[in-house]
Amino acid sequence: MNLQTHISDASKLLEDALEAYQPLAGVFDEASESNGKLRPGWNPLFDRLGELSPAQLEQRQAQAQRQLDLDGVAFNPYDVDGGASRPWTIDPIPLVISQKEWEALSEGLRQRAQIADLILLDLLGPQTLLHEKILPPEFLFAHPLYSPAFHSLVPQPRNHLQLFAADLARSPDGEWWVTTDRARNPFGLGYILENRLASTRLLPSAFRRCNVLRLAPFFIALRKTLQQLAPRNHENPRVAIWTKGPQSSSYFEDAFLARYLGYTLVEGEDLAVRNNRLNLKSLGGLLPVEVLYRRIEDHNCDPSELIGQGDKGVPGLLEVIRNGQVAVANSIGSTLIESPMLQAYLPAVSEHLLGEELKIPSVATWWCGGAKERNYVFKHLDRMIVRRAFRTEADAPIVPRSLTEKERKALIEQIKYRPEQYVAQETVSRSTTPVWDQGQLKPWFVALRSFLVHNSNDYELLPGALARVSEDQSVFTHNMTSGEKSQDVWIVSDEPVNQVSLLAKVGRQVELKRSGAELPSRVADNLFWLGRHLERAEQMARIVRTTVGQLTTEDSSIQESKGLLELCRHNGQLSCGSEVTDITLIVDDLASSAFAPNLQQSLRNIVSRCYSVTSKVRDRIALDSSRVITELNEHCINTQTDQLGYTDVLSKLDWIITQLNAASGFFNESMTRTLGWNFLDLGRRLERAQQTATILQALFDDSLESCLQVCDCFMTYRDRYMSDIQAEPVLDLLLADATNPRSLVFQTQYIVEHIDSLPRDELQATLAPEQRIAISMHNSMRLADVSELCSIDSDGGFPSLNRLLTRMLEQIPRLADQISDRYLIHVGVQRHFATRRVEQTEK
Amino acid sequence: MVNKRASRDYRVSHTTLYDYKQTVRVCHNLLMLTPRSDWAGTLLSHRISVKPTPENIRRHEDYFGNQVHAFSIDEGHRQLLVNATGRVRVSYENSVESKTPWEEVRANVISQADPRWLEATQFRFDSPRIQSSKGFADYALQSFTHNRDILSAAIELNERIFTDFEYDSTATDAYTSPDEAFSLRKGVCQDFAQVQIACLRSIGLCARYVSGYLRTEPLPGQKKLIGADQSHAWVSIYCGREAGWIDMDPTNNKLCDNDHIPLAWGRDFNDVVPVRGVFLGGGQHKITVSVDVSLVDD
Repeated sequence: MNLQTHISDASKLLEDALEAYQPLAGVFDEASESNGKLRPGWNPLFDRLGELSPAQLEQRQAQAQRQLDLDGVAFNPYDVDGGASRPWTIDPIPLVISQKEWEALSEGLRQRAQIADLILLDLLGPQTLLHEKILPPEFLFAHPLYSPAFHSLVPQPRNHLQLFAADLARSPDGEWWVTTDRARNPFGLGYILENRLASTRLLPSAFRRCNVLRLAPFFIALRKTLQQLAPRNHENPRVAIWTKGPQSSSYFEDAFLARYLGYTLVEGEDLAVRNNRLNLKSLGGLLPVEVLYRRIEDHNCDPSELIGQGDKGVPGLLEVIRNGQVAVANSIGSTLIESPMLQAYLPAVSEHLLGEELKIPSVATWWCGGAKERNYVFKHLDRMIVRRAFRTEADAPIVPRSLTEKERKALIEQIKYRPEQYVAQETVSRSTTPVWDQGQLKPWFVALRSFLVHNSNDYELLPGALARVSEDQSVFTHNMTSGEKSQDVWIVSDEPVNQVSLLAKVGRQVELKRSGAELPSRVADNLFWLGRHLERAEQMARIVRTTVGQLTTEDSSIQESKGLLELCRHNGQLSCGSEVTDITLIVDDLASSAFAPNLQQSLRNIVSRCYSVTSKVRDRIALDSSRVITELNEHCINTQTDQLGYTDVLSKLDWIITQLNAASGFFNESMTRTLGWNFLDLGRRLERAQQTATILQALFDDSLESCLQVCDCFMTYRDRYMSDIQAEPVLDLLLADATNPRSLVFQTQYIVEHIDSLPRDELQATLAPEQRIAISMHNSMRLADVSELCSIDSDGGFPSLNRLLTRMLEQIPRLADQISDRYLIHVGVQRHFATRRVEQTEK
Repeated sequence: MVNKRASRDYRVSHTTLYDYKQTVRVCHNLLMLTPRSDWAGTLLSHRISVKPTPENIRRHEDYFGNQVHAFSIDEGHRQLLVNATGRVRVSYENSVESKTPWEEVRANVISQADPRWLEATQFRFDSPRIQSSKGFADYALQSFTHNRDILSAAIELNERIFTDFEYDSTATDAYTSPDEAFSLRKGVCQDFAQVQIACLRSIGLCARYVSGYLRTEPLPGQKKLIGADQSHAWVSIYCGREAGWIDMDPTNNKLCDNDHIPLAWGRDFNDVVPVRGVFLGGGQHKITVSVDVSLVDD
């Protein structure tokens, strides 16, 4: 966005823009009353904002946005797995709500969460709501994802909903309405935390002045609630967040929450039921899990009893829950609460279960299963939005008034055929709030998602919310997470607020731990590959840089660079054949090959592999390293190869190498030396050994200088031997010098050490196969006689060196396979069976 | 015509044997092999044995009141043997008299005027294996004509499925949908039962899937029943407050009598799979099932 076009006078204070803010007529505005006066809580914010110039505000916003982008905060507007994700965009203006107002709302929302919880307790238990005809039986039995297995899973009576969310809208008279209830695994807490980080950086002094209520107590309550669910080991239960994986729409948030709450992030394949317990499959063996905070759909939890896709769930999980050996939050079956149909019955349900009136109304809803309601809906169809009565997948709502006559008739037929599957709702009217758009404050429509956590027999409302804003309020019809931008929501007090932190309270004994045996095998696998890809990216960048450098010196010739060019070709970094001899063409080819999206082995694609692996282990590595890799990946993707000159290519490669080294530096300095580190570094050492051996094989008889340069040892060599480049000292440095971190023997030494430190049966008397290979590799390096290796045959080749390197290049992939067989692939293929009849024998 | 209220005692033995080409490292299993003690049967004794012996076999009652046993085996095995043996007294009491028009039965369940509306309603909607459709409804309506009494209509539908469908154990498998079986007009007891349920639900009636057994040896002078020596399945239809649930067997074109031994019921096959499970490893496998149902003379 070009800011300059909108801002004529950069020094002009924001005050004018604030004064010029004009709410829409007939719409409730969160900031401004109809007489132009600011609502409670907004004054201190506007005061502070007024001191900034628009340019300052935009600059800070750009910085905050950059931070969000680098943290990888993306989201998926329709919450569909595998759907396109968009960057998470934050508006610099927060949405302010006074504590008084929020507390009034809180009463109604707490009641709603309570009711939702009691509904589940009732429907999965005595079903008085059905017997006494408060809810139609369709609510349960016509739900496409209902399963009889939901019943009697959780020991009664216990609450079912640890976390509950309600989406809110505000009508022109200022009344709050609930548009949607979310009970399975409400999306948004991670984004709220990210928004808060961004807004405190954006407006630090306003944040302090405004007495914004802190979010942390809510998360402390969440941790306590989850901890108390544990069937045993109450003091320090293992709590895992069960994510659907990197392809799912909630993965960013899952990883974020795992890191923030200090829980293990797991996927279905990390979990296994053994001995009537739920376990985490880790490198150190099976570790019991006491509490599972799930992000997976109810029907996908256990393929042995439920109907979902088998590959996601954990077979046997339901039986472990039934036996009280693991607690799952929220209960399996919670999805029933999300049915839009419920909203039509909530007032009656509230009377029945609590003897109270419903405190916050829902959007007016008619369930088409009732004949009277259905007729009413058909009569007033143009005012309505038609939805599925039950939440299954992301079914888009239907807006009848935008349909053609034919489509409308079809819709009516559809509803008549399966009336119980549809509801109609009145169109929601929403409030507006000031949003910074193109240098002005404009009133945009807002959708809010509020969160409640179960806390000692009551629910606690998060003092904050997920806010999405848009100029067009109809975008929220589909999903509240649509909308162009997000805002942080500040619940502000009249008095200064206490600082709270998620750190443990003083006085509680925490058991000191140093092990990393909890590492899930899947994570180890990803770290191992991250190490390999990072190293490969760096080597490729060096090879291409050396080649381009050599080709573009004054007296360069193709002949002299033959070895290097072959190496480039071998590594997939050069697409033209050896018949091409024009230097300009070759350099262009090298440059475009490096950034080509369609070449498997291009530098760009290796970097993108680093990025994709990084995003799978986001919860395991320092933010700084993942930021560097994100930036690197963006840079490679955005590089247009057709306009690259020699110098551009060189400086780009320089930059890439620097960034890769920065990432490695962060890993070196921030990762504890536990198993995760072992796998990351093992991957890197194996890759470097392979690359170095390949380089020596390709270049040693061709150009010693290129060898030194590609291996990043030129300076070291010059330091030792000046400019006298001879075979023996070069080989000594690159192969046998244990003090040189780029030498082969250095790699094999670390490979042996890493492999020795992997967990294995201590009683085993003999060496494991992977140990044997590693030791054999290392010994052949240590015993290498450099002068013998440098003896030349009649063709000018180095036969014994060649043999040694060839053997090494055979051993490396075997070693990698052994490691992965033994440690990384724990998951077998699951099969299902169901018997039917005698004659059915499978051949 | 009223079935005589008599009872018969049976000894039932159901053995399932899995042979695996490769070692199975872990398996999780659920069994629904214990006959219900209900209006049609009384369980006299029952025993489940599993080899290799699991650490424990846990039992629970599912939502529909069926007995479920669950066990896991964590040690490697190449063969799994599950046997369920028990004695059951069967006393089918189908008071086969009803003059209630089928529309009235349907209306009373929907309006919740029928005292058993809730129990019946659970079996009125689509379930994972059975989706209602216009095709099923049209087929059903040929028998369910205007104001016809529910029982004679249901018996006719039962008979039509018996006549229109060919018993063919190679045409379908355990995962064949009622839609497929309906268009093939072929299948086995599971398919016939699910097609019939789909027909009944498509016109708004309540029907459930019953798994069970048939007596192996026929009475002297009678033909051996189709589906004996194996797991069998049939249909139970809600026929209103007087008649209650009536079981009928489309595979043998008859109302269930004391030759039928009910095991479990649910919305469809999925709710009552006799032996189900998930295992890791194993490669190819072979399943052998044998069922023996013998009359116990007293």
